[in-house]
Amino acid sequence: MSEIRLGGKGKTTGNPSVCSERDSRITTAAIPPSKTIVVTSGKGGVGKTTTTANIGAGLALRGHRVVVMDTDIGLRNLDVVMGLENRIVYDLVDAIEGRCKLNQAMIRDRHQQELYLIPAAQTRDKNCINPEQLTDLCRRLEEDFDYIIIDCPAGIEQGFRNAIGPAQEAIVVTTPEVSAIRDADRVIGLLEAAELQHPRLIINRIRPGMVKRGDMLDKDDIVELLAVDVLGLVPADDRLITATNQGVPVIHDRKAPSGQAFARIAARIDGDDVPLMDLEPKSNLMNRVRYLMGINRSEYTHA
Amino acid sequence: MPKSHTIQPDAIRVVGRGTNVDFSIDDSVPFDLAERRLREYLSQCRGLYSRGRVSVNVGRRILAPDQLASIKNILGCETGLTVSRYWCPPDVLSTALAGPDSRPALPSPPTVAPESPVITAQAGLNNNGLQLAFPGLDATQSTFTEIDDAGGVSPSPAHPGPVEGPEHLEGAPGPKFTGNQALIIKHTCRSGEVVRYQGDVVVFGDVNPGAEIVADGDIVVLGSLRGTAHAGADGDLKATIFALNLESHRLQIGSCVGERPHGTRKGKSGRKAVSPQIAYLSAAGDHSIFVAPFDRSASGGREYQWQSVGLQRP
Repeated sequence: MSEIRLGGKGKTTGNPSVCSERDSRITTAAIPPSKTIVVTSGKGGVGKTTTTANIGAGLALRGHRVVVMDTDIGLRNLDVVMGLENRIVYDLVDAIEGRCKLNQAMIRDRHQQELYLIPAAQTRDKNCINPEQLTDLCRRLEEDFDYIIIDCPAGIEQGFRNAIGPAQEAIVVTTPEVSAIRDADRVIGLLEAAELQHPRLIINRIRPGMVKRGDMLDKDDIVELLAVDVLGLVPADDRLITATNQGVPVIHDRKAPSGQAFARIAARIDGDDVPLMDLEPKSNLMNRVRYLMGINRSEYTHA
Repeated sequence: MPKSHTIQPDAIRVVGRGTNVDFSIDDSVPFDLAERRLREYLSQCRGLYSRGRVSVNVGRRILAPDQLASIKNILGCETGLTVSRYWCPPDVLSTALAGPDSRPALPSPPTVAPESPVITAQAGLNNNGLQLAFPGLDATQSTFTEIDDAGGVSPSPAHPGPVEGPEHLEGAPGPKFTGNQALIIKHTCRSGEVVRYQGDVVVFGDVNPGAEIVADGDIVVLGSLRGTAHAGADGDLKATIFALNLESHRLQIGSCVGERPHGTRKGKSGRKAVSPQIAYLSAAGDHSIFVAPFDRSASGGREYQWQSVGLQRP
């Protein structure tokens, strides 16, 4: 029943006692609408989970109260990427099935006070929840949080349907590979059919040097095919792999080009008008030599 | 959602059907009452339905244009739903048109159903006036009627959206399609979308790889055609496929399948100037597909033959 959007924009404002500390902050400005955003891709391994973690961290760095939610039940790893694996007591399915309170399933991030993770269950499967339950859960979270970022599992089956159920906006992650783009196209079609119009695109793992040499699809080729707005371009970056393995979102690494790209993406989600910058290879000869010799860790900077 | 509940006895019935919801309003209820009931119901569940387009089945009731506009207005004001088309059983339309009123009055509103989420194409194109024969249609299929912004209507019989499955291809051999119905698709056809239609298909947008268009008539793509296209699916060997930018690797006309010869693909997606191209079967009857620039006088306007991959029963 995806056409029927319970609540939608006209959601109830939170219980005053619950969000009193927010009220002082937002009395003058217009209250920003809570946004439930799903991060999806169709194909696996393109960087959904990393993107979710970094967007969540980026929005929290901008002073928002954020929940990131892993809906990849049975194959959870958002907790690993955020370095919170050891703190899991209850998970999403426990909260949905009433074995714990919602706030017991929320784990506070190690770096930011206003960022919470709801981990997926590892011992269950995607069919044990349904979109209505998840929608209900998100509507409750929206009363207390500014953004809810949902990490969608790969594929277009039950897990996908669960994840897009509560979403008011969608972000599609792809890499500059034909297979990922084909899947992104399919997913955009499904999102549009589910009334999530105008999903926005993040192109991940761009290698500007290869694009320049004509060995990799460039942004314009991808946008021409997919016909959607681009939310951001993320360069391939070794620092991201290091950060991910350490359980720290790369956005905290100020030197990482990918982290800076995610910071700009978070700003755009937040409504800032940050122009899209083309990624440029480091043209410096020494850098190229270093890269060829395997010394340079991040191949490229960006303009 | 297989639940149903009655809001006002004998006036409106709400039934969930898959992901769609139907509002059925009793045919025998007077129009003003039905109108009031619809308004009451929608205001009761304000917030439940938001956004989206619906098609209105006007059932067997005869309606004046201002009554149609009123339905559109109710749906728009109470819920923000947009009416994209009206439809009714074909025999009702023929009866209405045969009636003494020269202004095409229309049957009226009992059913409101959100459009199929997968294919939201608007059907209905008619240049030959009203054709009230419905070859190959059974009684359950319906007539689409386009509405214009003024609330006026121009009834145009057409097949109801994409026809699932190739059943209609069986039976008598040879083309059955007579050529004045078209399906207009106003969005990009993305991977996984399959459009089958017993007439011409016009796409305002691209046809992406993995999408499939099967038409008994011609196919016109006002954008890039990168997916599969099959024109003349019921055996019309004169069918053509036109695209502003023809990038498909495989096309089918009638039962003849053609594959793009190696090396004829335009340079690797530089910002090339595209030229419209048209694909057709050779007149020689050797089942080979030719592709030529639509404007033969354009530079490099040379037709080239596609490799015949053989015949395939549709």
